[in-house]
Amino acid sequence: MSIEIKSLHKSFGAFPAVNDVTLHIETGEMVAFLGPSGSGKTTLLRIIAGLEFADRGEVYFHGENVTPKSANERKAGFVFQSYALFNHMTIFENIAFGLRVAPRGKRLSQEKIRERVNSLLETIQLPGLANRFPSQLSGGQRQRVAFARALAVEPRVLLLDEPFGALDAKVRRELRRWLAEFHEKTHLTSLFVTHDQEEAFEVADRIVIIDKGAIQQIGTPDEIRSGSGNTFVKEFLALHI
Amino acid sequence: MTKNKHVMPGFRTSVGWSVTWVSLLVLLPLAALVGKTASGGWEHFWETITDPEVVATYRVTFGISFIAALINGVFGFLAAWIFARYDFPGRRLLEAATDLPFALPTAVAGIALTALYSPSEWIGQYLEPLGIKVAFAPAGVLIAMIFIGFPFVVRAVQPVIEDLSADVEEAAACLGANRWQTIRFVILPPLLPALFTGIIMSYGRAVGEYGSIVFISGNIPFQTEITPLMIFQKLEQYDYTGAAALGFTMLLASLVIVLIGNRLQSWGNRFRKIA
Repeated sequence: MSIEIKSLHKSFGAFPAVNDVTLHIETGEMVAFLGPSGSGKTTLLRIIAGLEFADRGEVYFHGENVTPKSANERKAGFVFQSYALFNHMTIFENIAFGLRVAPRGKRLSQEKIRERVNSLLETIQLPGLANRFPSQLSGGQRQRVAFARALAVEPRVLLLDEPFGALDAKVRRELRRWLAEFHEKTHLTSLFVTHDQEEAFEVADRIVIIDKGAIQQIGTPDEIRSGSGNTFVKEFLALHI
Repeated sequence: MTKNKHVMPGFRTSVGWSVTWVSLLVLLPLAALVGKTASGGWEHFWETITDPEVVATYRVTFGISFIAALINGVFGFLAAWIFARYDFPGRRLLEAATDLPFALPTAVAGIALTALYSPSEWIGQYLEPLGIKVAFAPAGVLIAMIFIGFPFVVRAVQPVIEDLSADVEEAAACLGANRWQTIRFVILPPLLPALFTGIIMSYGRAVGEYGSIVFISGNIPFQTEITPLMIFQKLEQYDYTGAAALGFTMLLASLVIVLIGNRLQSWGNRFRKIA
């Protein structure tokens, strides 16, 4: 599904978090929002999900204006840095949650829910953990469960907010590779927020560099690396490469 | 022989102190109560605790306390939610007011409530023509019990609500859950143990309450008399073994309440266990 963002503005008090952002994301793309902390990239992602509302501007999902719709109507798959798992539910119930709260007419049968959850447990390579609770899992395992939970409802877009931020370097690399492979297979339109350049350059088809709530440069990893960006982009990249 | 492997030093000393302390302050008086009860003989004991007037007080003490605890469960939860989630002018003052029943001498509460609800007073004068009798009626007992038990629920639940992170609610919304489903399946379950604790404490407090109730209830036999009042009356009549018998009965009942409370709590906490 394509995503279209038109002249989006959002201020917190006098502080402009998102400043006139216009952006088009093609179906099947994997796009990284890269920028320093406080640059507004997470706010932008949250506005797309419907967790935050813009002061001005519009968001379109596949041509449909979703600006006035709430998060539970947009149903974007969202993965949080903090996992945000339901600690009182088993892994199985966590993943099944989105299927169980579906409106009565669209709800799958118990049998179908079990099938879907089990196949997702295979996808995230954690079969056999269905009856554990989140507190019994490692950070990397929890984040994979969060992925599976978001994927269970078959979202048309996947939004990831610093998904590997809380993990150690080794697990981060593993999961990053896993995500790239998953995207290669499914071509689910995905946006992820990161401040880690290595992550952005390795996983994304296109990178959007954001600072002070505004887009500084958009391009493929190669285009960005070629050094055609403005002063901010040059300085930001020089800090790390 | 293996060596002592406790991480904390002074294990024996601290356990020794704790056991002695609890024994002297809690177990010894309870044992004395049992001893006093036993000295009256079985027949006297049974006669005392099955006296019709006394049996009627169990209904008031345990029954109305239960209703009060449930009402406190609902409104205490709401208050805790609002204190934890919203900031509004006067919130701190309102929170402090919530704690007042903790510190207020219960007789003061009794006088205040009676002053409000007596047929000729502030609220009472409007309820009287409607045929609603609060003071000197079971409803008065209920209101006094709600009053003194309310802060227990708020104080038990509020810190747990403050600990809940907003992201699980957002996660639920992104998965298509509406507000009601989010509250029912995501927010409420982790709060249940704390809510049970609050309700049980508020129940226990209401069962043991004396001071505020005797003012507003009018102490009408078979209607608004509470069990602690019976104990007091027996003491006034120098019937010490009778008072002890009732005390013992209440002790057993309280023990059952505490045990049920612990059960509910560990059931609500089952998902926190780490294998």
